[in-house]
Amino acid sequence: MRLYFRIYRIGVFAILLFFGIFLLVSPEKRFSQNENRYLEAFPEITADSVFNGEFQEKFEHAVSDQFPCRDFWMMSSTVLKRLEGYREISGVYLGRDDYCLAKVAQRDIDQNHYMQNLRYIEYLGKKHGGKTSFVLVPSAGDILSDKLPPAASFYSGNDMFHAADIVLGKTKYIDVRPEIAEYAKQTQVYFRTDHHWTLSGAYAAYSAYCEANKFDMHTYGYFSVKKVSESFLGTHHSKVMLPGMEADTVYAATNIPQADVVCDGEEKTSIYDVEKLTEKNKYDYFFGGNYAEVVLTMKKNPKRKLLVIKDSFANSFVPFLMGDYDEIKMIDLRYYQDSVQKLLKENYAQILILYELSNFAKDKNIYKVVF
Amino acid sequence: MVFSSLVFLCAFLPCVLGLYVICPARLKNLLLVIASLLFYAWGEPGYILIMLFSTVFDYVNGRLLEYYEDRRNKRAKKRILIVSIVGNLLILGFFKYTDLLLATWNQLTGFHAGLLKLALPIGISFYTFQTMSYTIDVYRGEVKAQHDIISFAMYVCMFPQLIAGPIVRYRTVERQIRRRFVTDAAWVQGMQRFLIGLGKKVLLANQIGLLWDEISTGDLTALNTVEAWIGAAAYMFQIYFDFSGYSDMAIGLGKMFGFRFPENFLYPYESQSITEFWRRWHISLGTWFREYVYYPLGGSRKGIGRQIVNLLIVWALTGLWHGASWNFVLWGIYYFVLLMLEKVFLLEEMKRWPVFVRHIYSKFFILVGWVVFAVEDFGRMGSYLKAMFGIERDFMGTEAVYYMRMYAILFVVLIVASTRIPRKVKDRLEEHMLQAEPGLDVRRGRKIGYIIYSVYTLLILFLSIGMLVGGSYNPFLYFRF
Repeated sequence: MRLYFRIYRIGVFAILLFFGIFLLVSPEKRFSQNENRYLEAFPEITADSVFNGEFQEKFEHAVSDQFPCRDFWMMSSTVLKRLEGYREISGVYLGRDDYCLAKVAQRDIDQNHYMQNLRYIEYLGKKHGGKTSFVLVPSAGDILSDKLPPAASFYSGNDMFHAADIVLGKTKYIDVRPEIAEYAKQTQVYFRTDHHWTLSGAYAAYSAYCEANKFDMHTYGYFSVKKVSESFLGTHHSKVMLPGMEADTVYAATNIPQADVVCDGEEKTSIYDVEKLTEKNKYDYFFGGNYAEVVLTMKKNPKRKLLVIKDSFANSFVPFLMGDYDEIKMIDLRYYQDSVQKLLKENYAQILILYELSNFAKDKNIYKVVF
Repeated sequence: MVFSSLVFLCAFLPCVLGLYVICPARLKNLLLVIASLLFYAWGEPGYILIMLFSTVFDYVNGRLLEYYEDRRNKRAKKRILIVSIVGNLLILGFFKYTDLLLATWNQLTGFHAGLLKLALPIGISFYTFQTMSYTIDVYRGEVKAQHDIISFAMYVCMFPQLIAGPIVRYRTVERQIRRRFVTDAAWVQGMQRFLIGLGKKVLLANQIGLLWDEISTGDLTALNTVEAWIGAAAYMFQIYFDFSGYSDMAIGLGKMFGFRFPENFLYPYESQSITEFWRRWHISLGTWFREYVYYPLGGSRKGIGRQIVNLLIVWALTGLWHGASWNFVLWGIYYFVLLMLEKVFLLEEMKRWPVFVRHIYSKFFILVGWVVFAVEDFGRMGSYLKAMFGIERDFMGTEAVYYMRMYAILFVVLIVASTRIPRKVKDRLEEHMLQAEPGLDVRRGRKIGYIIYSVYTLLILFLSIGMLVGGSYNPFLYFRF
């Protein structure tokens, strides 16, 4: 029996020490592909940082981030939660048919802030009467409510979109919700492992946009859509890290006009960034991610200009519109530091505001269109 | 530093355990002092001075008490005791209760005295109570004054019970401070106890705590009845597994260094009455108040009227000990009322009730009690209680259905784990092995039982590390104590 005690004593001690030593000697990892974020590095020790506790806090984060086999541990904790019957991990619902859906319950949305943001948009619409339109993209869980876990709470799309409809008068409010819901019956309109919409989802919104603006609408076939990746594991995957999740397929339109692409002053050869396909977040294939300002010039001396104030959902949507304008300027208010007022003084044929609903409801930068 | 952190598990603990083995016997106490100071300084670098002051203060008081005892000077002894108690209570009062008094004063008089907004030094309520137990016991002549300041510092600062108890009275560890042994068997038992506690904290308390957080932080006026009860049950399990998990870890760590700390929890939710509940919940605190407040006040020896007053004082103080907020006092008085009722007639009455009715009765009041304890703001507390009793609220909603489905398995695990069933399984493991295989000799049966239990504790270690690396919710609940 003594031998058994010895084995356990030395064994547990060795296991704990092993992790400690591993942390000490292994080279520091800077970035986690899987979680798509920078990892905390071990902090420098100074008297000040120790005394105010900053060193200790950073050190603890670093230990967790630099822990050996981090991905394995994260998966093991997810599997345990799954076995316990959890249908929700880190704010993501594990839905039916392998769908992950971001959890946006009614109580997660600050209604006052949402209404305030809507009023900012309406203010913009009043100032630029007639040419401003607003597209609010429903969250995946709103359209795909049948994929949600049983009794899972989610915001009421009817109420939220109705509120937008009421507040917006002078602004043209384009309700893309019915169209996307219609498409959802036949095709996949949201990724299973990411919070974004698929190209089909974006196309559904495009068709609603064309209808509202009385444009000639191109068919889906016209854009010669090509498969660009079959191994997309998106942001939901990063949060959930459930082993054996099936990857999503990314499609992109290829029959689009030639354009000069300038992202934050840097010229690019294409609106598509092939390099991003080798990285974790393959949705960044569209424009290479989010920039403060992207300018697409289809014709020299542009006349018909479009201004898009947007979040990342527009990145896969805007390519469909390239044939309809001479120039498209995309602004991301989160990163745009110049005066939006100055920008609005330019002469645009149209101004489009496009946001996903939960992003829009909590965005703290919408005020920039007014002040 | 807290036990349920990777820094503690993978750096601090193996280092201290390793050094402790190779350290010569006469330096072992010094090693534990240094380790404990580092442990405390990790989270509270500045406040370490208060703890050191407290240590020196009561070391000196102990020596003085001895000095006057030798000279049979009772008056001087009494004075020293008063100095010690007042000193300790001033330290505790200043850091813990000043703001409560100022805020209450402001509210009552309309004054606007500025609050100190001091962060409460972690564990201060535990170590001041420990040092007080020392001077009082020296005064009473129950223990001898400690002459070695390192040994005394080790008793005050010892990291296993420093931040969340149990409150170890000096007399329980007096001999072990001088001489103690760690056999392999004791070390293994200690580590297994520690891992069980770690699992309680990380795998159970933190998980169900998430549910309580979700229910209690939202808009409470929209809460429906079923949801409110689910939330209260979630908190009931969170606080038990968190607190008893810490105690298990403390007791286990103590064992690995050769100490025997008293048990702090004895399956309190198995209790059939409130009286029984308080005999099984946070035992070391109850013992402390009984020994050093209730008995000195006269206990039950001075007539029933005086006894009731004494109990009221003890329970109001017990409540207040848990945090500087009036809801804790209310919580203490709530239990005083229940305990009085049980004393006067209910316990007799209950003997005729079927067992399940007694369980419903005790759990009902325990749940309501936890809501009073957990929701500090009186407005929000009222709102929560209204929801529990269905006043102006819906009976249930879709959220309640969702929570029930999502947490059903976890709740079953929590219920089973809060009874003595796991303990019985552990104890019977050996016997069952023998019955399953006739002809197996006793020693081999024990071995198999031991191996299964060892693997089980290792599994808990791995799952806990997984949860901690995954960066899930890991709160520290006792920052108010």
